[in-house]
Amino acid sequence: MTAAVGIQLGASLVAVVFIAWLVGKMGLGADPRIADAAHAIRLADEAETGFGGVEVARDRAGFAAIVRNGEGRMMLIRAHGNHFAARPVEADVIGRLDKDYLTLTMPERTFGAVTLHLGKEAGVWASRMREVAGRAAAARSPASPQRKLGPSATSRDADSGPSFRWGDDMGESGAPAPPPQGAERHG
Amino acid sequence: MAELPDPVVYAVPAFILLLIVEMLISLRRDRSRYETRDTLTSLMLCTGSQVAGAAVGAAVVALAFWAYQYRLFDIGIDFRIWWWAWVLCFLLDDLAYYVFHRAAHRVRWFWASHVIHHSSQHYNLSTALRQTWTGFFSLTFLFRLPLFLIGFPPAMVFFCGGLNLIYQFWIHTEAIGRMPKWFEAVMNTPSHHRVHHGVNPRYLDANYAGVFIVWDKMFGSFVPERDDEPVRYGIVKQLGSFNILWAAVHEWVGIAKDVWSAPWRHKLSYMWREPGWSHDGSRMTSDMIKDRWRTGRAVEEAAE
Repeated sequence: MTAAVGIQLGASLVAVVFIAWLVGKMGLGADPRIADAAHAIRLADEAETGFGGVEVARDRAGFAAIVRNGEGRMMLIRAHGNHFAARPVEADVIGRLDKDYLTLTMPERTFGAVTLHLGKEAGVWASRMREVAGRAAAARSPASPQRKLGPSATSRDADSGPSFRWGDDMGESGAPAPPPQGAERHG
Repeated sequence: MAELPDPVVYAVPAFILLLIVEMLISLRRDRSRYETRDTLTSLMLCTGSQVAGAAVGAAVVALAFWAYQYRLFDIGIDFRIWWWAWVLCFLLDDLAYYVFHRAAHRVRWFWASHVIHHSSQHYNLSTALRQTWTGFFSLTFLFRLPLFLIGFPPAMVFFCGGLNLIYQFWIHTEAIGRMPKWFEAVMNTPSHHRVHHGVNPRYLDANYAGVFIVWDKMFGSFVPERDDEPVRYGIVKQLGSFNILWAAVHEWVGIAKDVWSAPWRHKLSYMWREPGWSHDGSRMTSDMIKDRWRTGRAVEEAAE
């Protein structure tokens, strides 16, 4: 590497830091929130064309939401910078229920974990996700009965089929999810 | 052999100045056009691209000269004598860019290198600087080889390529609506390029031009921006991360995983087929997304 290239890189780094500092100093940016169920459904549809959300669990502060479609598939949406990013909630998502809070850790490490304050709906949605894991298990080994999921069922547990792991604070386990009382319905 | 300066180096101060001007406009019109971490990611990716470019620059030049020895014509570099060759070189380099760019969106191997440029959900001048780290590895230099084989001197081709890159900087902005009609008809503009960065099904895989939008119009890939459909930027599966390294290599990691786990007869397809292709149809290509979107619209229209 020549000296000229080194100088160029040094100058680049100085400019990078300066511009980023200036963006912060100017107060540029936004505070994106999911306004309501319709907004969440629209975001899910933008993430996956034709997703067709019918039911929404929205974080109380609007930072994130889970949208369920008519087929029972679910999509997690969360704020990312000034915008939103979404991922389907599938069997390899790790979930943890803690009273009114539901934390979902996506298998994609860079997407990270998302905690939603759902109030009383948290348990209901946790059960729904357990069902997703159950369906995945059934799909993988249709001949075998659905294995009861517990805290020990992890992504490394290859024979178990689903890799859905729940924390010790999990409420009712294995029970079919009742229709949520407070969930925001749409369509 | 004649040497010419890299015009991009001389344009950098203007880039920084225009960035600041755009930030001031955003301050007045719409603060959400910029985000500190996004801008930092874009600029750091630019710096990484410089490092990658410096590391492989000599190899690219060597390859250019290797191809140039098999040239069909002897073309000089003196602008006063060979001005027409300069004009032709700029035009053909832009056509080569169009071909490269189209391939970069339709072949996953090239997309893995190019996706870095589309990975921001913002569309501002800092997005323009989000440049690839793995262009050499993905063999994108192949698209320029025909110019050397024709006989355009490597220095001329690289200079024209630099001018092309400089032109493409200013079109990465929401601060400019539409340019005059005659300009929009011939040149690539912020409006045309916003469409290119869009993930709305209507806008996917369109407007690959570098400088002249006429290539898109000639080869059927032109889609105009619509006032009733604001562009959503980024990639179909938004990154959801400001991790610089992940932005640079995530698609390569995806290819490696897919090739590893795919049945033998499908392994190569995960490299050369279009992004989103899967052997079991479990993912969606842009064509599939567009089809689903069109079907949805047809159903909506019928219901109305």
